[in-house]
Amino acid sequence: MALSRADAGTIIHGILYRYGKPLALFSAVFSGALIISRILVLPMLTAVEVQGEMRDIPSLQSQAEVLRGEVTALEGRRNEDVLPLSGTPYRSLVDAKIGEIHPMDFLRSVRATAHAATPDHGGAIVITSMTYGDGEAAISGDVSGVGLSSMTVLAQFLEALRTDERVVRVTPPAFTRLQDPRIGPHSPFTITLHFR
Amino acid sequence: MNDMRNRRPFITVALWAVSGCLLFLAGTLLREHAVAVRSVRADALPLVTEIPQLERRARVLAEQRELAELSDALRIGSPEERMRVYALPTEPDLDKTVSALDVLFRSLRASARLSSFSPVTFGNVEDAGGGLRRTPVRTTLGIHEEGLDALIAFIQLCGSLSIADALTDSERLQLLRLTEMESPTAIVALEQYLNADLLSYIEEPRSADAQLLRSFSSQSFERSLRDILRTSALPTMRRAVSPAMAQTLRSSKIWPMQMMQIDALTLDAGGAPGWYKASVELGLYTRQ
Repeated sequence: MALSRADAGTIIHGILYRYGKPLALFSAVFSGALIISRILVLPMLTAVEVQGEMRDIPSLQSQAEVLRGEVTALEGRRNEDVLPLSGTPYRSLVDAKIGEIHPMDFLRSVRATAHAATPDHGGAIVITSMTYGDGEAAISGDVSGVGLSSMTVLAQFLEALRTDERVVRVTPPAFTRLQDPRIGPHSPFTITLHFR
Repeated sequence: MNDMRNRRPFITVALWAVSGCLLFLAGTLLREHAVAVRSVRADALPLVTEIPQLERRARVLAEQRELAELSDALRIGSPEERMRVYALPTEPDLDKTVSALDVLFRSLRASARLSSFSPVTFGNVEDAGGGLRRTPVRTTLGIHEEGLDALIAFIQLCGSLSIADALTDSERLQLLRLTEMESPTAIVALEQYLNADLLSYIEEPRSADAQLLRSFSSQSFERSLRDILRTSALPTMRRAVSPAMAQTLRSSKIWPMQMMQIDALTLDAGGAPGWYKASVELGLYTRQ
């Protein structure tokens, strides 16, 4: 015998009404227990002992923060006492001078890069001049003795220079291949390397 | 009875709504419990180890500060005064600069690392920012690669007064941290070491090193100090300044020198391997 729509509604409503009270009671007891636990039990569970004193996490975090600030300030003042002239234009100049890239070391590393970039054609890349200053170095030279591959070799050299950690940006040269009756095909270049 | 039956739907809705809200609250509280318990492991335990370390470090730093202040008060001659008089005076000392470069060029010529040099010219004084002025100093040299290394090291030496000036910021901080860990009271010895005259140290480094090391009992500090000194600019400066050159700089009253920096350097391949035609522009710095 099929139930009418009205009967089904009455049954569902009866079920919801019957279970409503126990559910509300359970929810109230469960939430109450959790509120009590949150206020009384949780702080005890999460407190940790530091130097014989029970501390909760927020107070530990704030104490650590205060101490970190104190240590940083003390370290700064200690360093100023030990190293006079800290923070002066003199110290900035001295630090800039001592921290700057050594032009000759840089030129030597560029030469080594040129050699490493063409292991099969030693001496294919010749550096003829370098202009250093204002946070950049312009390297001029020529690629020769590799036949028609001079531009490919120059591109390899350029890629190798890009991997230098001291260099932040490379202005590539104008890729060209010239014909010289004495040395054959060659690619003169000027590459500008911008330092960090 | 009928009234009660009529209110049933409202009571049912109210009971389920209240239950829903309470269960949502319970869920939030449960989540909070889980987060709190998890954060004990994630946050509290690292903090428990970090806080005593920070407290210990703060005590050590305060003690070091007191010692450094005391040593500062007993120090003869102020580094600031030396900086004002020698490294960054208010007027460029052109005679002294030419004399310093002449000493370098003579030394390089004597060791066959310099073949020729053009007259040294001075440009107009210009503002360099930060309360400093700059006078361009230009010259062109026929110079060997080793001579260029010596020239660069010599220019690094110009305006540097103490050992600390030849070390990078990270090298100095490393020494301070090591002192803090190894022997906090040795801060006075380290202060004296870092503020020792640079030229005297270049001439004879052993006595200053030994005096500093006497304040440390462990071998690890000595090893670290040697590593820092080996990778610093000091060995290059020592190679650039021969004992005879150091003697001349001192006897001619050229040391301490005025602050100079390489602002531009153009190198063109010279006539022989390792030789260059170098156009150098130096910045000679003064205070405003």
